[in-house]
Amino acid sequence: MLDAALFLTVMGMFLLGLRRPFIWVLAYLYIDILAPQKIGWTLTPMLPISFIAFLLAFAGWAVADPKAETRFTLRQGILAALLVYCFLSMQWADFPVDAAFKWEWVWKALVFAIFLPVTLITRLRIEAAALVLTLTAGAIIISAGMKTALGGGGYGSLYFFVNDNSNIYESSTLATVAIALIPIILWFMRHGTIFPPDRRVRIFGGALIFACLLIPVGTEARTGLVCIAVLGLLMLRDVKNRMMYLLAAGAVGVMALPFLPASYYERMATLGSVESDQSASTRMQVWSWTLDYAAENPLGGGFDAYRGNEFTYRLPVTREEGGALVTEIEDVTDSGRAYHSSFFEMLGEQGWPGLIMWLALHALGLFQMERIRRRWRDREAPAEQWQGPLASALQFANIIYLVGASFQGIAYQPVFLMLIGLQIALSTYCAKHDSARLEVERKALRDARRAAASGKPAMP
Amino acid sequence: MIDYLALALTHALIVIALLRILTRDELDREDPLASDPALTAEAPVARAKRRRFQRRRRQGRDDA
Repeated sequence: MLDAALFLTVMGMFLLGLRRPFIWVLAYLYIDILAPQKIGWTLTPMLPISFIAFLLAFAGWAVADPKAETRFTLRQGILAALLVYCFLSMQWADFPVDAAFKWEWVWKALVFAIFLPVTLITRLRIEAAALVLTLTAGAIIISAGMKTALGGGGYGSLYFFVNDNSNIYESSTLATVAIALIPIILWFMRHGTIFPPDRRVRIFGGALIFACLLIPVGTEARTGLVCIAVLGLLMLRDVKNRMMYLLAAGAVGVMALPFLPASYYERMATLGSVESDQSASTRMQVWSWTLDYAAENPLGGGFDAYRGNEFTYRLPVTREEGGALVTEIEDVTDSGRAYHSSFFEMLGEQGWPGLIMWLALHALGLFQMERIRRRWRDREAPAEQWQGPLASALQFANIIYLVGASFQGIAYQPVFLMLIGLQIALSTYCAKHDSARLEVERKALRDARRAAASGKPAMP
Repeated sequence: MIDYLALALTHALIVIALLRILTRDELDREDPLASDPALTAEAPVARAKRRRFQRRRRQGRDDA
């Protein structure tokens, strides 16, 4: 039943695309995020739907879309350079087999991020892409949120539709995605046109945000708590009444405390005690190992270069002996530990060139969104109200991602690459809009000058 | 059960969204200078209000 429903949804999208080929782009977003082929068991895994959608999205654009105004931006150039560099780094990879395995999905995510902005040429397309992304991730978030609210959850024990830690079906990644989506959901509650803001949209949006906030609780991902705190601070910038916001946020936080499970407190308490926590100690070790590795291999060691690490460190280990808890300092040896940070993931795998490209990609995104936000802030035309707030929402999402990425190796996470695609699309859209306006103003000025020179009044 | 509910709800919304954008011309092309409120958030609401108003008027006429 579920299998058939998912299969029909995908086929329905493919069919609708025959009328409006852009829907194939949305179909790819949907399939890539939800992975219906992994949820279903017979029908959906039967065809390579992800690959079909990938090809259809490109074919639809090639056949049906106007290309005269297609622009290739600097950030798309950086993504393309990163793609080429990733391919090059495979040639000298320390672990060629593992590197090839990672490359299989990374190239697709990067190519799609470069391609997505080219298709998002109208406001409705930008909105539709953001909506499908939010609702698809929303399916996972609502289910996980409801399970948490009904008492399920726990680190590594919250069940999703797919439980193989792939894509966003990984606790910490899902927590970061959920929090990063909150500003975008808020944008939909004010500026959506597919679902124009009314009571139903506000109720659903509010419930979805609540579900998003529950994800870090349900998954007990410490990164999620840090992300919520950062989002809380960021939102201070845009709220009208800061005092009320602070009071409300404080009240909600205090009210939420009694509902949090005890295991959540225990896990969050380890945020402050780095020494006795193996996860945090390993992180420090891996990061310092990566710095040494990059000093020796400045061009990086290719995907999954971390598999070569091994280190021994002293850690207090507590165990029960004859009914009493005994803590001893012991040598612990770890090997093949993942980077646990996208910054170090880039540095270790793609070396300094890769890290610089990746940082430039995000820094430019933050800067561009800030510029749009400021430029469009004071515009009064009804059609010019949504751009600034969307830039602000995408900027916040990007910052949340960077915070989450500091503690997880999610440098090529497809959902965030899609958000980068949305940023590029918005930036191109605004630039086009501005240059068209400038052109009209120039033309009007020219006409007025000519009319004045010929001594006749300008035509109305 | 929860999984089914979450999937059903979000998929229904995705399908409605796709059907809505399918009929809108602004999906594929748009005038970059359009400051026409027809392209803004108010448009669909206004359209819905107008339709509701017309329906009521028609009903009123039928009742009379």
